[in-house]
Amino acid sequence: MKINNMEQRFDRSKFLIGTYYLSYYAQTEEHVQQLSDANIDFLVAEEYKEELLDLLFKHHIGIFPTGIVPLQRKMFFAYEHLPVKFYERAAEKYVDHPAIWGPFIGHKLNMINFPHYGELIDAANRLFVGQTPYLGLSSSNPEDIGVSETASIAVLGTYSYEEYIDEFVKNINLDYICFEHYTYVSSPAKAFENLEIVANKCRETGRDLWIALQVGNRDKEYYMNCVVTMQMLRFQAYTAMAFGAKSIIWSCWTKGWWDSNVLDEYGNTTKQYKKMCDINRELKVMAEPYMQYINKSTHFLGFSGTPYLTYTKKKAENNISLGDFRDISIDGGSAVLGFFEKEGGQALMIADSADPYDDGIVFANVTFETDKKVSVLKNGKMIKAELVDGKYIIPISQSCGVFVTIE
Amino acid sequence: MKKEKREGVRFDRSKFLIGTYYLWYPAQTETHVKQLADAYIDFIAAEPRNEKLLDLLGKYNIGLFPRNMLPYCQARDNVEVLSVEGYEEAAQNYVDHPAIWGPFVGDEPPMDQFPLFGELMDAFYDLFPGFTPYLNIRPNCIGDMIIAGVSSPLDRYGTENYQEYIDRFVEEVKLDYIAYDNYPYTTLISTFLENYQMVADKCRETGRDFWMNLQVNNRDEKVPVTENMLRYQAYTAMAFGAKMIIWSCWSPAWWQNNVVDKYGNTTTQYGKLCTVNREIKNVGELYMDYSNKSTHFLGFVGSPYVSYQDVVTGEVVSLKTENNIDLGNFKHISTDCGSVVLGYFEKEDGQALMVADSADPRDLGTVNSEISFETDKKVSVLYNGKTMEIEGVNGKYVINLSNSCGVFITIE
Repeated sequence: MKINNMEQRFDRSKFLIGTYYLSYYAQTEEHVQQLSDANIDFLVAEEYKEELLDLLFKHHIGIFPTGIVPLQRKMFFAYEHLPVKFYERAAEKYVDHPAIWGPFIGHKLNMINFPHYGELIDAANRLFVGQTPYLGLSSSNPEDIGVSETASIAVLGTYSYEEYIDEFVKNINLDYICFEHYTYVSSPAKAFENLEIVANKCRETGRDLWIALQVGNRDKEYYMNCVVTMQMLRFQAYTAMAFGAKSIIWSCWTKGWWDSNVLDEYGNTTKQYKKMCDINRELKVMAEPYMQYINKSTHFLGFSGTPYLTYTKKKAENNISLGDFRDISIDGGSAVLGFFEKEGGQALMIADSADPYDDGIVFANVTFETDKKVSVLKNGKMIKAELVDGKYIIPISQSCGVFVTIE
Repeated sequence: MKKEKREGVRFDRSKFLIGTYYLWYPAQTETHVKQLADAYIDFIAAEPRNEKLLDLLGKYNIGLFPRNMLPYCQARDNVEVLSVEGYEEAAQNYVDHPAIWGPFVGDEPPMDQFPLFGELMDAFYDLFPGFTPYLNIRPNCIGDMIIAGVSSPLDRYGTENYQEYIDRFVEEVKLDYIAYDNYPYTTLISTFLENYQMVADKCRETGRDFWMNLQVNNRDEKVPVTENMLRYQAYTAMAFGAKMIIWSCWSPAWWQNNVVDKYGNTTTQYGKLCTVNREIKNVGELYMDYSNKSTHFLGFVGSPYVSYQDVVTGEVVSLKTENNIDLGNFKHISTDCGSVVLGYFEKEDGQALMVADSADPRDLGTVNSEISFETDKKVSVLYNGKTMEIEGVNGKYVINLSNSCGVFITIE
């Protein structure tokens, strides 16, 4: 399948951070400024409203709005309920705005609808030239319905997430795969399974990997472990980057589903807002070098005695060599390790994964050997890699992200 | 310590006992009480007495610690009702029933109430000979409350120092057990384990029994506690020498996914509880012959469950972990890559280990690990309540551990 690489309204060479929803009670300029201050690049699934579009554009924020094309809420038999001609009529009525990056097409598609959505995406590409349609896929663990096999069939149309992703790329002409996985209503083990399957397919087909992650949680902010902590945000973001993610979308800014979102029901910032500002600032710094590289493979380093590799094909490794990084090992912890290359350089994204639930504190060291010049960014800050007996030592803890480059 | 008060209690303290909180109307029919018996429940805590229920409980040999037998206080609420005179008046008006094991007298009292409870308990034993008062103290989850802004732990419990809370409790309140509640799936696993350690140490030091309240329910209705999560809680409690566990809750008193719903219908938790309680009862037969001497955290390499940052002091608190240890005639006890809470027990002419697999308390996936030890004694193994054949090679024994299993190993 030929990937549609049309000229786009946003810079795909940047690491882009999005978020779901900015409801009517949070659409003042102050609220949009808050988005901008938190390094949010784009909004997803908020309704097309001219006043909001103007404010977003003023603050250099894009949007994939609803209301441009009709949505198929019930994803069964979309070919009956959502013919291509509906998109053609929508395009005739469409009033463009420079804040719009592309129409929000849908999410959590059932596999049965992929062939028809292939036609709809082709129509969207033809009708909305220069825009990118936003289409999100389910995780293998459709947490809003349940985790039983029956639920899996109802949502995905298959028991196999690998088949689901395979069929998606066979049928749908998009140059990215966007899916959602909410670790804290699912599990780290399922997150790794999903990321492995999607990242493999992205590498194979040259697609970008976009993933929706959670800043909100099902429970209200009351006790520990219910609200997503800074460490839990780091865990989600850095493991996604170790699999080569080029865009992440935080769910949700205002009430979309669950609780403890970034804003409360009155539009006031919650404790999640500062965390969003802090993590996104870090990610943007990390992304500067990160986006110069291409993800080649991802590995699970350590993970001895943990349940987190239950569903992955690739199993735990220790002491591996990747390019000019030799003898990479870890002393007791667990890290997802992404290997990246660019012309004249190589890099590792080390995502500490010993404590995804922010349950305690685990200190570990990742060590490697190389003859090259080493630079290290940890949680968005430059650090000096200690060199002892010819080995570089990188201390990791608390779901930190470390981007190591050698040239 | 009034150890003599243990004599004459209305229930058999030599058995491993399993209780549960609350059996609300409409779950008080004979069918419902039989369900309790079928699930190996020995007693109900905190449910107010009524004669029809008592008769049914008596028929099925289930005990009750009713909340309306004596003036009752929940933390600081209603403390003005507590007095020795109130206890005396209740004793004068008390109508006995053989299903009553004793009154449920209080829940999570603050430290400044300990002198009062000391007086009340002294009076109680004179007023109600043969009965056991049930007094549940608070867990160590101060951090949760600070983060949540629920209330000041200092105001609510009279101290921010949990060790001081336990020390003062045993100094002032003369009971022959310590009962407390800590629910691991609403707090940190590390503080949950530390709480066990603090209470179990105090029980060993003072010769008290250890009673533990655990959770079969959960705050998040979409995340029911699994069978392995029940196992994790029960077997870790046993590794610390617990002699009684109380599941919260049978009826929907708090949180979601209780054992029966508000209409009295059993939920999916019922089958899980039957399975795990059956296992525990099997283990309990042998386990109760032994006395817990120490508990150890074996393995836990790279695990977050043995350290946390104290939210009051900001300090990192780490529990002591070990590997390759000797306990009595168990030599070179070690785990390959697992995390195990390991209880060491003794009886005359015998020693035992309770191995509580703890690599995956949240039941997130699969962890395969093993524990090994050497001994020249005869080895017997109960694995999740079932006898397991085991053969040593040159005196070395290796046991594979599945998620949150409980393995009771005896040598004689």
